[in-house]
Amino acid sequence: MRATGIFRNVRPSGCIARRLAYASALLLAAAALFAAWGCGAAPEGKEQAEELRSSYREIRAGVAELEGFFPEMEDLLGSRRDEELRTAMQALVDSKRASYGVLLRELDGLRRRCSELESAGGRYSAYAGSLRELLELNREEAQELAGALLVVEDLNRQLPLPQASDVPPFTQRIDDHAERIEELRNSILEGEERAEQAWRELG
Amino acid sequence: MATSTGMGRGRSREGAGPPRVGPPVGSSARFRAAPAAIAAVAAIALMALALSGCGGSGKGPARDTVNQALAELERARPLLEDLRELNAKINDLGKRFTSTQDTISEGMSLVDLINGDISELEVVLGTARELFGRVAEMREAGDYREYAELAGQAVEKQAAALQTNRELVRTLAELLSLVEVAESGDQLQYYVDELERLAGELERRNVEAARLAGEADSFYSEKKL
Repeated sequence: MRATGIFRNVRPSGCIARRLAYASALLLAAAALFAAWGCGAAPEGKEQAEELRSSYREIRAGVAELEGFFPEMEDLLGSRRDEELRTAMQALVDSKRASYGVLLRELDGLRRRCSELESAGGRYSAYAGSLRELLELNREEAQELAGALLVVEDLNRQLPLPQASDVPPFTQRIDDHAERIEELRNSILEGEERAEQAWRELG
Repeated sequence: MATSTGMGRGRSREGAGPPRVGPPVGSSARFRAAPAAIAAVAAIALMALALSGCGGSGKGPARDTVNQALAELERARPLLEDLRELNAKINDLGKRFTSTQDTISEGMSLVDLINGDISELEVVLGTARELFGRVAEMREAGDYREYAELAGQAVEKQAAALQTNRELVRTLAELLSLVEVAESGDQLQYYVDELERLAGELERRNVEAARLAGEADSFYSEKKL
């Protein structure tokens, strides 16, 4: 008190008792202010959870980019022929395969970060857990998409197919992947709704 | 699947019939990470030999900094040894477990361990490189300066080899992620070829790092540093 000389400024009095009273009041006020400031700060883990949520959106964008393989492939099938088609298809497969590699690493990295927040056991632990589960589904979807790429590469290697009847086995295999992808996408959508609900409740 | 890693098979699905197993890639596709990693250890070992001879005359700060760099490289040695052993284990994937799932888990934990070693080594080699770089810029360092330049090049090459090693395990991780969705080993040929290419590149880089380390070491002895 003496060091700051604060009380002399408030009330220049020599009365120690009164000074002590002021000091107590000031301390209480400071404590109240400090508590209010503390309430305004982000709860523990919120910032990390927000980062995870934002990274998850990027992952979804990456999966969507990979999904773009199907319409791009259809475009090529409709517009190119023979060697030109084969070259363009291989370029598409190579490009999507590279995207898959990047996506896989990002998925695994984010999954680790989610696990860390989940095991930290705070307010956002359950939310991190739900994101981690969603990432598992996204990983499966990415794997199925990459599986479809493998089939298309098989097909591409054999182009031009000698007979029209050679085509259905390939389309059937691609459809199998597409079907599984559809199932996974539905599960992801449901999971995302639940996760978003949980996020809103966390405020 | 019958890849160089000797792992698993395509996933069997209802209605999809038995999984087709591609032709074995066999010995031509044997994974060559092990000799590559041995060369890496040799490279560092050569330079670490110089450590015992340190403490010669003059050029105090340069000599001290070179000693620090060599001490860092000494720290890298067990890590490189571990990395070599882990890389060699990639060859044995698929031999230990009969289940594809177990093999994938084993492979993924190997990938994690290798990545961990690489990360640690990157830090250690980065420090050594920085220290050599400092000496290479010292005007009064005399022969230490030239030695630091040579040693720095060797460390640089070793760091580049680590990058290749990292790329190699990334490819392995991608391959492992696809084992269950692949219908045959043939479908994963791209990854097998990539592993082959990267293992070859890793070996070349490690050999080059060893050669540069040897040159640095010879210079160190010739100049009686």
